[in-house]
Amino acid sequence: MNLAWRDVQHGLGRFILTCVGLSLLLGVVMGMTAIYRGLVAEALGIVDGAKADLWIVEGGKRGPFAEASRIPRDTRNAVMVQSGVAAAGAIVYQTVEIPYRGGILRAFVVGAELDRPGNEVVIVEGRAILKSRSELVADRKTGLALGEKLRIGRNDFTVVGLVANSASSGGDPVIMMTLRDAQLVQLEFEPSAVRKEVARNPQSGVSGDTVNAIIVRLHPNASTHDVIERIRRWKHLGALTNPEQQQILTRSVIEKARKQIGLFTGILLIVSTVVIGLIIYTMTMDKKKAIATLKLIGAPDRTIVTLILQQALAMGLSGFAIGAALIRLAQDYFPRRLVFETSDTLMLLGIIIIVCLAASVFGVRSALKIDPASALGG
Amino acid sequence: MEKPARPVVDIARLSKSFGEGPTAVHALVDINLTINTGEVVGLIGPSGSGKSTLLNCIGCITEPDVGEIRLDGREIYHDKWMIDDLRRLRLETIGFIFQFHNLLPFLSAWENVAIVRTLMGEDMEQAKARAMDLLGYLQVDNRANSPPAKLSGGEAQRVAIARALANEPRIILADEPTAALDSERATIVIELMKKVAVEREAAVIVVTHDEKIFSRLDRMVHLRDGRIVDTERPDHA
Ligand SMILES: Nc1ncnc2c1ncn2[C@@H]1O[C@H](COP(=O)(O)OP(=O)(O)OP(=O)(O)O)[C@@H](O)[C@H]1O
Ligand SMILES: [Mg+2]
Repeated sequence: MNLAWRDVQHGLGRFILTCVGLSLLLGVVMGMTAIYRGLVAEALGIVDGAKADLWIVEGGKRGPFAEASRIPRDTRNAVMVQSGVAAAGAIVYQTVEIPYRGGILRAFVVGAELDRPGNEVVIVEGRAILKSRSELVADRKTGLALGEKLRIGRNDFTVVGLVANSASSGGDPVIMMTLRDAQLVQLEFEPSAVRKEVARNPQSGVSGDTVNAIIVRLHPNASTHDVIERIRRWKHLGALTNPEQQQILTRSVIEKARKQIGLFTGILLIVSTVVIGLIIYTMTMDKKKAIATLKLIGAPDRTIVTLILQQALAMGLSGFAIGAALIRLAQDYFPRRLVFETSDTLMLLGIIIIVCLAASVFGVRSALKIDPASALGG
Repeated sequence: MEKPARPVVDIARLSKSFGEGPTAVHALVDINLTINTGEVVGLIGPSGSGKSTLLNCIGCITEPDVGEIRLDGREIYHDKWMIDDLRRLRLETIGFIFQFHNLLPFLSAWENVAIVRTLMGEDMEQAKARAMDLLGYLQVDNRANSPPAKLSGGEAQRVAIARALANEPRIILADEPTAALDSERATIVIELMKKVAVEREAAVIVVTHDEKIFSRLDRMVHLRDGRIVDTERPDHA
């Protein structure tokens, strides 16, 4: 007979309530981690989705995500002919706010060249863009439906396909269109100064035919270093490897969030430890007489310590399981993506086990101090 | 029909004080006492006379200051504890019966008895069989699956006695075991203890105020201010 389990059964209602309460706390901890992972996934989603070996951007800029970058579209042709380059595609990124269904739709427009790097997407509904004009593919989170017409600036678009889980590093859902369409959209959303500049001097660096970056894929055995060196020789261009690009985004977008969320998670874990500790302590004190009796009839300390630790673990683990279930049920109600990683879950599980053991210390200590003689009194 | 009696509890010049200096309480002063198998001995005396303290010293719950305690032939205390694992000793040689039954509230009646056997290392099935035997012996086997809270005072006390017997103890220590029982039940309980003492060659020490059971005792040891002042054998009418 397992004493811990029998005692839990004896006060099952209270135990379950305690576990549910604890599960809410642990659910929040898991939610925090999942929010952070979601943030990372969203921030890096676009970068990773591009599957670029190199990002060609404006010289001296950490573009196109962390800083504005603007280069002539025909750079793409010049890059393509470099040895080691397998494919290249120009790309335009623009955050837009569009009046939509009486509200404002905030989205991240991605313009890519058909059949070139940057345009590969996994369509979950509908089809990819076939025509070069006036078609778009939208992330489901935009709320757009297949076949729906959408006016962006002065241009009308038709939604021909839907994708899932594509968002900018800021969490805005993606709208994909052809490079040309995106250039037009960008021009309309540019600050007016740029537009005036373009109007006054079409041959300037900020001509209408500019893009934000060029995505480059290299031949499998090309030397990344050599290609970068050659491209950097053009003074107005810079080249970033994909890991560099990820790092820039991680620094600019994620670092603070990581600290913020890490701190908060830490505080919640401390709170959980205190809560579990208090509960275990109270549960132990409620059993004071039973523990004294056990000692009196000759039960070794091991029996008593096991009783307390098993209950602490049972509580922590059921709280963990219920919390994990609750946060997964609730994840669709969160405005931004929650990403649950097995490694995080396992780590938290490990932490919970340690927390339970640590939190039991007070309970165990006071249980061991209980005088067997105290069972004798009334 | 007398079986050869041998001493199970042997106490010499045992003293115990609580506190120090002028406010010290001399709970036990130079106690000498021998109790044989088959004997039911009552510890009697006014409140504060040291009855519980003596019982707790014999039960290795309270550490005396000086003196000697031999239990079942083993030297347990000689001005200090002579063995390390007192709990193991209790588990193997002593059965306790308390004024309040002190059953574990989260275990059923039979589990409360069986736990003693499992603590001794017996497997569950055998422990349960043993527990059921004992409950039958005490005529409460019909309540074996009830939690203590559902038992009457008398039933709970009998389950507690079954638990005290579960380890087949040489020594049974009972602190006011009949205080919560009516006189009829109290007599049954004390008769039972006598039966156990004889049949199992155990010594029973009972702290009691209960005059109704005095006549059932083999010997009454009177304590006052921590000293044995008188020992009498009630007539067995
Ligand atoms: N743990 C302790 N600390 C201090 N004094 C104690 C302690 N235990 C007992 N005493 C004192 O020792 C004396 C004997 O106490 P004991 O409990 O043995 O008396 P008793 O004969 O059992 O009394 P009662 O009939 O009221 O149970 C009392 O004066 C009591 O106050
Ligand atoms: Mg007493």
